[in-house]
Formats: sequence, C-alpha cells, structure tokens
Amino acid sequence: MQSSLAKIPLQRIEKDSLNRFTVDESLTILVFYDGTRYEAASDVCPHMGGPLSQGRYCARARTVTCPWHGYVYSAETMALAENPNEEIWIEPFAGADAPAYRTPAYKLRRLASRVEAGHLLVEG
Amino acid sequence: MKHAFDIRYELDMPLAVAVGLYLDCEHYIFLHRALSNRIKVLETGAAYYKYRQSWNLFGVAFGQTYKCRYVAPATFVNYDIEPAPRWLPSFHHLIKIRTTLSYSETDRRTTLSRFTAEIEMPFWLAPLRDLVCRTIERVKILKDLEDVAMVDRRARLFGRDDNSPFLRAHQFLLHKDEYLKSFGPNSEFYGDPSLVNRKERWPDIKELPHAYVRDFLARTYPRFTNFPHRPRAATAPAAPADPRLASTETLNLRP
Repeated sequence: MQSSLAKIPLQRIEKDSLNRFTVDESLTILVFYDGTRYEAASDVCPHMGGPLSQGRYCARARTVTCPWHGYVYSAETMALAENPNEEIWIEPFAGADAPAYRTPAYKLRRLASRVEAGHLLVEG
Repeated sequence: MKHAFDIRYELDMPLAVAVGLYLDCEHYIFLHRALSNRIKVLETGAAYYKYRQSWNLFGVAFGQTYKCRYVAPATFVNYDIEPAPRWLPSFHHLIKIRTTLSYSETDRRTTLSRFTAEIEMPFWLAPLRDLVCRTIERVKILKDLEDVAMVDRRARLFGRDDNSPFLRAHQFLLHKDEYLKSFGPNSEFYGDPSLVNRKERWPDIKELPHAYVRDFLARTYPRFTNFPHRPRAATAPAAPADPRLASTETLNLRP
C-alpha cells in the first residue's frame, strides 16, 4: 500500500517550471505541469544521487539537468535524455580499440500522484 | 625564486571514494562550475591526460593547459601548466606551478589529503608570493568542500563506503583500469593492510578556520546536499538512509 507523501495546493504549482516541494529534510519532490497533466518524481538523480531540485529546468525541451554531472532527464518520460559528458570524455577516445560504450538507461523515480479537491496528492 | 608549500587536512570519506571522486571527470565542470566551467581533452598518454581548462579567479576566467598523471593508488601530479591560448597575457607566463596531491587512509576510514604546490616565480614578484599561495589554497579547499558536500549527500542516501558508481561499466572514469585494480572487487589496495594503517589525525576540512569555509558551509553546502550542515559535535548519529529517496528503476548496468 502506498503511503501519502505530500498534499500540494494546485495554485502553488507553476506551469512549465521546476516545482520543488520539500516534505522534510530528507525528501524533496519535483512536480512537472505542462498545462494538462501533473507528474511527480523524487529529486534524487538515479546516476549518483544528485539533488535534481537544485538543477536547471528547460521549459522548451521539458528537461531537468542534474547539477552534479549534467545528466539531462525528460520530464515527460522521466528517462535520461542526454549525457553531455559523452561529447567531452567519450568521443576523444572513441576508436577501434576503445571499449564499447552505451548510454545508460537511467530513469527518475516517478511518484504516483492524483488531483483531488484542489490539491495534488503525491504518494510514495 | 622557488617556493613550495603544503595544504593538509582530513576528508571524512574512505580512500576508495576520495580517489574515485578525483578520477570522476564527469563532474568537473558541473559540480565545480563556479570554479571551472570549461574543459577539453587534448591528448592522452599511457599514464597521463592533457587538458585545456578554464578557471575562474578574481572574477576572470583564466585558460590553461596542463597534464595530469595518476600514480596508483592515490597520487596525482599536475604539471606542464601553460596558458591557453599561449598568446594571451596571463600570470602563467611569469609563474610556473606544479602540484602533487597524495591521499592516504587512516585506521578510522577517513582520508588524509596532502597537497603540495611548487611555485617558480621571478624575484621581483616575491611580494605577491603569499597572495598566489593563498589563492591556490582557497581554490583547492573550495573545490574539495564541494566534493565533500556531494559525498555527504551520497553517504546519507547510499552509505558511507559506497563507491559502486565508479565501478559501473558505463561510467567514464579517468584511469579506470588502475582504479579497478586498486579499489574494485578484488582490490589490491585493501588486500594489503600495511597501506591502511595511519593513525594520524589532521584537521577536518570543514573545521578549517578560514571565513570562506564557514561561508560555504552556511550558504552553499545546503544547495549541494538539500540539507543543512551541522558541526560534528552538535549532531546526533546520522539518520539511516530513507528508502523513499533511492531510485533503482531501469538501471542499465550490463557491460
């Protein structure tokens, strides 16, 4: 059974913005709203645990960038969209002898949520 | 005129984590973007990399090229530091710097960090020698504090000894083969107890007396970790990792 983590008034959620809500010192929730749908996720980057709530959000591409390693995640699919380090560190050494590299398939931890009585209820 | 100085302090993390952090190049211009936001690999040799990197000092970006050599398990030497582009007026034309960073582990599973900077400068710049040394020290300490903040958050989430991200197949790590030999599953380092037996105690980096250290802990540390810094004496034992925080969905860890 999922436990309720947060009850967020809808008027506090901004469209096309990185909405951060701190539940307690150990838990921050990200909420994405594109005008029609709400999505909630844990702010812990699945790569190494960086605080995505301190990262950058691109409203045009609907992506959030981790401040620790620059990994870019889609707010729609929650999947890793881009690792900018591939261009900096992988490409210079790509060659016949270079070990095979595959972009990892990290995904943000999506939190179940529903709208009820003017609030977004987020469950863990 | 030649001058050398040491910067010594203790980092509250095991040696495997400290070395992995240094070789984790993916965070260089992201976590440390306030200090350095541009880097490019120029060449690589058997035991060294050559970079072009920009550092932000006194509100100005200074570009430089340098070579970094890794001597396993825990020594790093930066040398051949030159300005980039070479035609740009820069202090590099007057002051030559070579640095050596050595880590060692104590019997308390913390890391002793010893950073030695060797400076060569014309005698008429002697009045600026202390300023140069303090600037190098400040950049080094602030960079390490940012790393410590990252490690503190990871320790709360995944445990203090966790160096598993550095071992993942996809993770690009400088000198990864050497790191895996020293700190991987069949670690050569931890297989030799004589390398892990230092009883020395150096000042913890978070307890250094500089005002910029206190300022970092008060203002910047919470942004890096999402929780406030608390001095060691005032804290209760750290809370166990919250299972709500960890994400384990669809990790592609297969080589």
